[in-house]
Amino acid sequence: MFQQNNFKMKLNKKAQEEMVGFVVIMVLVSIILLIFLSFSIKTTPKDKNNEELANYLKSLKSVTTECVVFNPAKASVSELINYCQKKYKCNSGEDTCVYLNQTISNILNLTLNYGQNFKRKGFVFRSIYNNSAEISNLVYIKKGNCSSNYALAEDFDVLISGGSISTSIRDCY
Amino acid sequence: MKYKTKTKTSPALYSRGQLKIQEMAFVLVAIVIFMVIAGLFFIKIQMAGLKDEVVSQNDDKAISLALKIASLPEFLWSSKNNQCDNCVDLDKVFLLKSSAQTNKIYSQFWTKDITAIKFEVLYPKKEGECTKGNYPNCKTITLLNSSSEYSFKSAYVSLCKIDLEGSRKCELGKIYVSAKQF
Repeated sequence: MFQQNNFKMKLNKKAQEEMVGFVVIMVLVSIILLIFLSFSIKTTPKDKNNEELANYLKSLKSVTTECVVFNPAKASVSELINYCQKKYKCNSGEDTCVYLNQTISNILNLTLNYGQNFKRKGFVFRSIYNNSAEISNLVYIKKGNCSSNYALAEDFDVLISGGSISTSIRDCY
Repeated sequence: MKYKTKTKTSPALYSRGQLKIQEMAFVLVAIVIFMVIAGLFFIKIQMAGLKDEVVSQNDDKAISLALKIASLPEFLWSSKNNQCDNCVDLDKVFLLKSSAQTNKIYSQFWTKDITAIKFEVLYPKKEGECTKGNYPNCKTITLLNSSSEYSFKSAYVSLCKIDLEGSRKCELGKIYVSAKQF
């Protein structure tokens, strides 16, 4: 009887040892997998065309429009963004914000290709006025699909009158 | 008698131990194989990343070179009142193109590594190569065209000039550069 019990206990102990060994191996394997996973996640998100996009944004803001607010100079996109925030009008009577949105939309349509057949799936152009009291959208243009990966270029203008204007373009690919 | 008992019991114990060692060896071999496969997979991912990194760095270098060329004094927009980042003086570019055709110094201005330089207006929409007859209502100014094989890299710039009313007018454009090292 005693011998039989002893044999059973020995068997249980052996089974336990096997289980512990198996668990140790599983834990080791899962740790190694986690390390590989963290490495692969770390290397994937890269903004390749950030510099190109920043140049694009800078060049776009320098484009001269046909809107004259203060004679005789025609306003640039960058100046129009400021005038839009101040709710100025062009000499032609057109609202600067409406004119600005139309002009930027035209420029984006003509210079950025997007869609399923292109690397760029879509883009978002945004200009936001921000001060301690309010945040308002001056320009918001969204084209195509922008739910996947993206690169971002952003530019800030600090206004003498207070607050700042952030202009950004998000390139979705 | 003692010897007999030893020979009777030892083969059974020996085979059980052997089985244990065999089991252990199998597990170790399996772990090593798994590690090798995982390592190969990891190296492959890293190599792919490395390739992308090299391509991206080359592109960045090319863009930097294009921007460096755009910021040469021969092209750069410079005005006391109208400071402008990233702006190219289109009049200067057009004059340089005309000079390069007639002046020997400017015809040898570029090193042999640079095979082509081109400026293109993207907005507003225009057509054709610029000549004395159609400037500034034209799309491209080709400054250099010294090879039949091109690998163009480009960067966005503002193409500015003084308009008829005497104020600055900038358009959105691109500078294309082709070099031997691209």
